[in-house]
Amino acid sequence: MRVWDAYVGPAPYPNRRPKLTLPEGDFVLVPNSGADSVALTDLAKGALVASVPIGRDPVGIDGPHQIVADRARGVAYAVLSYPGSAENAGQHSHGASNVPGWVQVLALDDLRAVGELRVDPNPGEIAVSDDGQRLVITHFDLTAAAKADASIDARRSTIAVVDPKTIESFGTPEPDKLLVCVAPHGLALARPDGAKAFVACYGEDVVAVVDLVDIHSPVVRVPVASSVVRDPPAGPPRFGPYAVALSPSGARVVVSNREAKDVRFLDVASAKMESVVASVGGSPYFAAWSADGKKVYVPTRAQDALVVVDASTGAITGKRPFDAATCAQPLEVIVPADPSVLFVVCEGTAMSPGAVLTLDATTFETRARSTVGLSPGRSFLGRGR
Amino acid sequence: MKARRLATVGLLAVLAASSSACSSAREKQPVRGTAVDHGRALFDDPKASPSASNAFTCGTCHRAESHLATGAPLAGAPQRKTFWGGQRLDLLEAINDCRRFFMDAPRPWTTEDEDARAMYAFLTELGPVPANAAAPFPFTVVAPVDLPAGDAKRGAVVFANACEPCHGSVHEGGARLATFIPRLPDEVVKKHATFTPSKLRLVFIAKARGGSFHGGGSMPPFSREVLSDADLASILTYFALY
Repeated sequence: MRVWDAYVGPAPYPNRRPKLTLPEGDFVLVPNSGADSVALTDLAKGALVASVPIGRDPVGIDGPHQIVADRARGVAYAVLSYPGSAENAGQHSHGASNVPGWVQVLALDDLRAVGELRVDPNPGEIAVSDDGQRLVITHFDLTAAAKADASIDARRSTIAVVDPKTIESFGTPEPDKLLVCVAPHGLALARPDGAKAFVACYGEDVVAVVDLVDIHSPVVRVPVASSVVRDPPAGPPRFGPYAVALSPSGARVVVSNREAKDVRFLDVASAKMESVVASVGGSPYFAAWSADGKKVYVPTRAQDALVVVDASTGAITGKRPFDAATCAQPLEVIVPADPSVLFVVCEGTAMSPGAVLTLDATTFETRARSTVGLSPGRSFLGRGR
Repeated sequence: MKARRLATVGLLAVLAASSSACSSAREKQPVRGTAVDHGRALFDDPKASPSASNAFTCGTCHRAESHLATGAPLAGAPQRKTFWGGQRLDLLEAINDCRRFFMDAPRPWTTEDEDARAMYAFLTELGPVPANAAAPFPFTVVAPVDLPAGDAKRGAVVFANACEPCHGSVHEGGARLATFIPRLPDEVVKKHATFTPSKLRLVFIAKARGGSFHGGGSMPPFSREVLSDADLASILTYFALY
């Protein structure tokens, strides 16, 4: 039998991580899904401040797909979307993986992991309510969506609904999961408490409105157009709603339809689509509202551009095409408190890193360009204090 | 004769009883050790992970003097700023990666775990990085691509240092670390019997470079700094895969 003396000495494993000093002004945290890191970019300076490795796997790709933060609690939530196999390592999962996803809780002062939660494969979007009480994750399961002979429910996948306080450093219990629609991806939560989730259902051509207070309430699925067939058979979507954004007043949701190459609007009160439609030329991704709710800034691909939409008429009122050197594959637009600028996160290509562009909000000319890592995902805007 | 035999048996019984009494007295007398001793013992003990399926110790990968070790040298580890080629910034997190991915540990150590504290004591006792050592141990993960043939004789030597400590002798797997560790190359070749030679080589290359991070298992990966492409190609040539 052996008896060991207890360790007495300085606190073991001292935290040697560099402190992350958040800029005084606006900043973004950008998850680099091809590099398993988070870039901190100072938007006022248009400069990369730090790049910090994250993830649960020190060798393979974790695919951090999106990061959101709750500054009151001092944490960020990064959703890790793992590729399905080593053969396609290097790209975060885009719906075809069979590897469970994870949410990592990161302390904002140095991005050390302080909690983790296992979710389903192919986590798409993550959102935290403004009051920090609800965390929601969509599961963009294209494999289930493509099951030709399956019922519509068998092709649908879930959103996970989590009380962030329940997330432990290890062994967090499975979260509640609600079956929502076919290939749910984009996500927005009602303010301030996240009582409702608005979900872009890529494979079903609907926006799902989900009651998160009474999770047993039926999911309301709103077709994005009157021509949408209810419970469509497996196959490519006609509209492909991929992203949503809630207006500043919370009264409207803009829906980016990747396949139809248009944006449409959901009226929150009536849970009906409005008649306003804006054809934006390319495939729209993660749009953002102007602070007054009158305009929507839409990043598009093929053609890579920023398109400005009048939210009341759907008219295109501005456009800034991008060449590959400036912004390859625009992913999302970020509207800061400063009304004179806009930011665009550019995904780049598999071989070239992404970037955050600072644009003049009136002329859309480039004011600054900050390189981030490989394949940046959706980012968190931290507003200056 | 019979009486003499009985007497002998009796004597043996007395000796056995007395020996048993001694050993039980010894067992009752606990052997004390410091936290450093505890950490040193853990370093060579598969029980650093409580998993019943674990066959590895820390020394399996980090004892560089006995074989071609996949793991980094540990002297100075408590002072290092990064691990795993820069992907980890915490020593305990890096240790827990080993315990999880290679040793099947069901839960990570925390700074409150006595085993973790003892391991820290042991690592601290190893002292700083030797003055003549190359600065931070790099760990370059290499994408699996096919390699031109190497030198079979060199391959035999590298196999003995890099593969045999875990996989046992070539073909037979004699003295391999655990029965779930495949005999090389035979079991892998058999499992992929329909593969072309180049595809089969890629299976070995991907496993050597990715280890458990490539399709599971518990093998630690060989970084380029530890195992060169030329030496890996020589092992494949020794396996007659060209």
